[in-house]
Amino acid sequence: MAKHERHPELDLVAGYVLQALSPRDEARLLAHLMEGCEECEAAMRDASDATVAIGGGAPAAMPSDALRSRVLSDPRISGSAGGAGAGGAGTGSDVGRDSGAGSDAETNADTDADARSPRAPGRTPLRPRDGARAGGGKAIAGMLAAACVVLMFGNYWFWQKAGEFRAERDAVQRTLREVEAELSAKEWIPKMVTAPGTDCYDLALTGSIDAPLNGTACFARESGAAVVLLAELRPPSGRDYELWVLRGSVPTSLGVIRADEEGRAAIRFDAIPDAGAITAFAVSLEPTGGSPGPAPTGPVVMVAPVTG
Amino acid sequence: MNDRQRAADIRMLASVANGDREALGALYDRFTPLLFPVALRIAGGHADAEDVMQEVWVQVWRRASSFDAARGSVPAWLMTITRSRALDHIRSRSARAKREETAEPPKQHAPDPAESAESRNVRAKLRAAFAELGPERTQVLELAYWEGLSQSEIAERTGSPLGTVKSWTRQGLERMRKLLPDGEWW
Repeated sequence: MAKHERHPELDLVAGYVLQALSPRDEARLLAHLMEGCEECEAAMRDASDATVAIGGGAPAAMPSDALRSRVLSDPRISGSAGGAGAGGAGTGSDVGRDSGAGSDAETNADTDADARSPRAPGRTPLRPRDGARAGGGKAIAGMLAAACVVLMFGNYWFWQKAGEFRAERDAVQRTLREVEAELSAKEWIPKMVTAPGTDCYDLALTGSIDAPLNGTACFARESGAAVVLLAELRPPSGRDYELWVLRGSVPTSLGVIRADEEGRAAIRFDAIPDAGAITAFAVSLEPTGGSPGPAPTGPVVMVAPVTG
Repeated sequence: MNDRQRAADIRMLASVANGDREALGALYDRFTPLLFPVALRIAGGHADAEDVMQEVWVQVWRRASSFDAARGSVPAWLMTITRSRALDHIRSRSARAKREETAEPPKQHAPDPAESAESRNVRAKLRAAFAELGPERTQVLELAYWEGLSQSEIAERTGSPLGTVKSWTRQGLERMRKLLPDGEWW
């Protein structure tokens, strides 16, 4: 009983393994586990074993023989295991690479073509034919020299202008790419949130601080893409909110959360590594700049367990 | 379940995480007798239970790398997935309608003639242990485990305070665990 009084969350462990907790209780327990509680972890193992025992009492039954081959020939099982996570990371990176590499390749091709064209008119006149020299006329030589000078200046003028045009064009292309990236970022969130395979989870308050925070984590396990939307983020002076993912009870920081003037933040992840193992998103309150260690040092204020 | 079997299960699951389909087949063979009855009892019909099991093994294939041996055993992990998928299945409206049409009362399943005497003995022990919990704890665990009710819903259904439901749930699982020492089941 004394043990139970030290860890009121112990009462929640059984409900957790039976998936019978309210979102608030589940968030409270996950936050507690994230802070490290060996007693609750041990209780979790025991309670999990007990659920096997309950299921093991069900009347015996077997599926049809065909189910085994149906399962093993399921197209979703034909690739590599955990491929969802690995493949997903690749997908996210590929999106970035495709747009970036594509633009760069086009830019380089254009630059080469433009750099060649202004030089071309100057080349032929700068190479006097042997026959002209054999004629030996000073007037002709003078005219040629004058022509050369004109052409050289002309060439220089063209070359300089072309350089200016190239610089202008590069600046316009840079601006265009920035605008495209901004538009793409704005479209990315609604697209990601509504895509098949994306699930959204409310970040439930754990009750560890009195603040009207609210937030949602949308997560596509297959690709590892995620967006975390938060509101009312106004950390006390000298503190920052930090975002975490849990894989089991192991937390990994996703960075300090920077909110806008209205206390809102939309944090986007193209592909969180090892997405298949993620069990929850969480927010903790930390010293300025974030937790100095690999785990939260301040209270965990919000948790969203992710399932499926 | 002894330590050797526990370690073998973890190795098999690690092989699945590395893309070994044969290991998935081996896990299927080992755990289908444990998991299928649970899927059947929750889903209500044989075809629905098979659909549930297919989703379970797809999830095992995809999520094998997320298994954390420090948090529980392989059968416990598989059982959690099975219950989740089965409860999801009955929560979907169309499946619920189908279930009402084809529902088979869980206790009417005929005993599997292929089941070994040892397995029958284990199941009988597990049922006996469950009955030892007392009516309140048994009811709370039944409602949570087989019907997927939340603790608030159980409190409402039984007319018991929420705190009491939480305590009965904890005590029920603790007693169940104590009644069945290692080696008695999967």
